[in-house]
Amino acid sequence: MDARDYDAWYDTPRGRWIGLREAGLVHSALRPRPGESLLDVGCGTGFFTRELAARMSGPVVGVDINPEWVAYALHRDGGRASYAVADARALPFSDASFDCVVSVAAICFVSDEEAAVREVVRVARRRFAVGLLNRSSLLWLQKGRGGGRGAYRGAHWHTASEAGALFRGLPVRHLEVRTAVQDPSGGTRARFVERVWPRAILTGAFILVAGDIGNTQA
Amino acid sequence: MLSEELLRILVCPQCKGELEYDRKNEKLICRPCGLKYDIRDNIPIMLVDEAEKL
Repeated sequence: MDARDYDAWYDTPRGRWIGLREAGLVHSALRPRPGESLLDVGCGTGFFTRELAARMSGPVVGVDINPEWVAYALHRDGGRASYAVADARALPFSDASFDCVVSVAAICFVSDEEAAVREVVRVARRRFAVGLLNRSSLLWLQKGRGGGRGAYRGAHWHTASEAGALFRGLPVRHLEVRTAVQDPSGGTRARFVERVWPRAILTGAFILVAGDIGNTQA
Repeated sequence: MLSEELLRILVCPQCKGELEYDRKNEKLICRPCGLKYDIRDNIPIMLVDEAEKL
């Protein structure tokens, strides 16, 4: 898909609502401290990189495997963040290079998602948040079945427990799993449902696993 | 914008070793792997499959 067309979805009322709900959930789960650095793995056209950079004060880097999308992200960014083309399974950074590392609905399109999750944890120093697509959601019923439709073609969908299991054996602790976007229509009813939905019922389209870096016994 | 900060922290995606910056030719060089990563329009292309052999 063309980068401009893809990014324009976030300017539609529905796309903007979904995007900002997801960015808000990522930011609240990350709890960044002033001046902390951030890496966005699979940044695509940079919507989440820009949204998170606007809420943080430290250096921000976005990487994606698609050069056309990275060029668009750099062009849209206006100089706040830096960008590189990279494979999520082999990131061009040393261990513990960034205070915070996020990946928003990107690893669900990577063929070896375990390798990508390992890399996210490896390059993070303090905290990470990985957003995936929830198979126990209304969005999956609408767009995910039979290989997926539109922008969801080829995506892997996870349940909350499968999402958490991707981190098994890695040096992480205090894992939190939360979801957002219960009703993907984005209308008035969706906004109401989103406000009153109990946090413990993990049925939002967007599923986020966040945690601290460090061994569980620490 | 290609920041000096990003150039300082990039390593070879294959061996995670330090890179040498060839400013004139806009390349990032990994001698142990024998690979040259291109910088195109201020964007480093850090893909092993797209790197040139030294």
